[in-house]
Amino acid sequence: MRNFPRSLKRPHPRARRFRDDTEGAGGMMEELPAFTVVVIALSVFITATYNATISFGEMTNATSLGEDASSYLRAFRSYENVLERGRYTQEPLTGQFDPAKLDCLDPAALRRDLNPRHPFNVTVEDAIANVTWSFGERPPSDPATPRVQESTAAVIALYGGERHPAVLSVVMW
Amino acid sequence: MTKSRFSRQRKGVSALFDALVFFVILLVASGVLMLAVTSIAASTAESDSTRELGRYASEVQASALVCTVGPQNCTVNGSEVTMGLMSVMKCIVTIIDIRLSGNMCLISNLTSVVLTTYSLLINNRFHFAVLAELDDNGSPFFLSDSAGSTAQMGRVRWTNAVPLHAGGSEGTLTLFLWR
Repeated sequence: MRNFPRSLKRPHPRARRFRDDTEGAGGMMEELPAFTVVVIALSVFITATYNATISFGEMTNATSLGEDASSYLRAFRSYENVLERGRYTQEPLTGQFDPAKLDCLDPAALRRDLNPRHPFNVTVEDAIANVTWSFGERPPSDPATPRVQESTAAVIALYGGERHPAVLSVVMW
Repeated sequence: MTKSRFSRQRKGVSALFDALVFFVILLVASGVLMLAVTSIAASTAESDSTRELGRYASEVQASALVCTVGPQNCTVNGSEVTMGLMSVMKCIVTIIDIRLSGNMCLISNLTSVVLTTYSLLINNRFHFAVLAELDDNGSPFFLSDSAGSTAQMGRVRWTNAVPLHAGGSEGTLTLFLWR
């Protein structure tokens, strides 16, 4: 039988005290699983709350942006400076655009008169003649930028009584 | 010594049990929170959508009816007739008048230009149908981008109706939109 030195055969008294101790570190270690579960639970709850807050904020922003885009669309649809006028009453006809007026519309006047709260781009597309009028800024190329697009029906009133179907669209971001 | 260790183990198990209960409660609370936000978002989007689409239907209808079509040819009693520039409303009235007169007419050109005008105005996300009904005539005039009848329209739809005068009677011209 191999002879080990005495120090390896019998642990040092201090080491033996640590090995046999059941009151200090051992008590704390028993609470660790519970502590871990509590930390995980709190993390899950905080993450859920954070996500809910972010979602709610985005939803509110999107709703606000959507309402602004919608009201701007309606404002442009009845913007007198681009509308055809009735033959007898000379009243501006809502939703019926005069192409000559669209050609010479001043973007600065449009911005001043309709006063949008966000950057915008508005287009009027003659669906028969494939002619498009565009006003405002170029929409951002970054797809992450939140934006809203609204569109509605309109009419291009040509000289001579012809009326083409058109699509009026607004992008706001 | 043995009793003390057992007591500590009980305490540890009890703490773990409490922590698990806490975990379950927070998990349920997180779920409820996320569900609430999702349902609020869905209901807001739904109500906005309904309000906006009602307005959209009326704008499409108003625009479509003043658009002009033509000149168009159609065959009446074997002879070709050219119809000049006319509004979509006038075109629909003409179609109804021809149908009521009982003449042998090929009016597919007229119906197709009406359909085309509505198609150009309406966003591709929607299907649509146009129904013209006269109060004292049981044969309604129906046009739709998807073949079928009123029964095949979507369950949730938006409508806009305007008065119609054709063939000496009154009625309504209704636009249906659905997804």
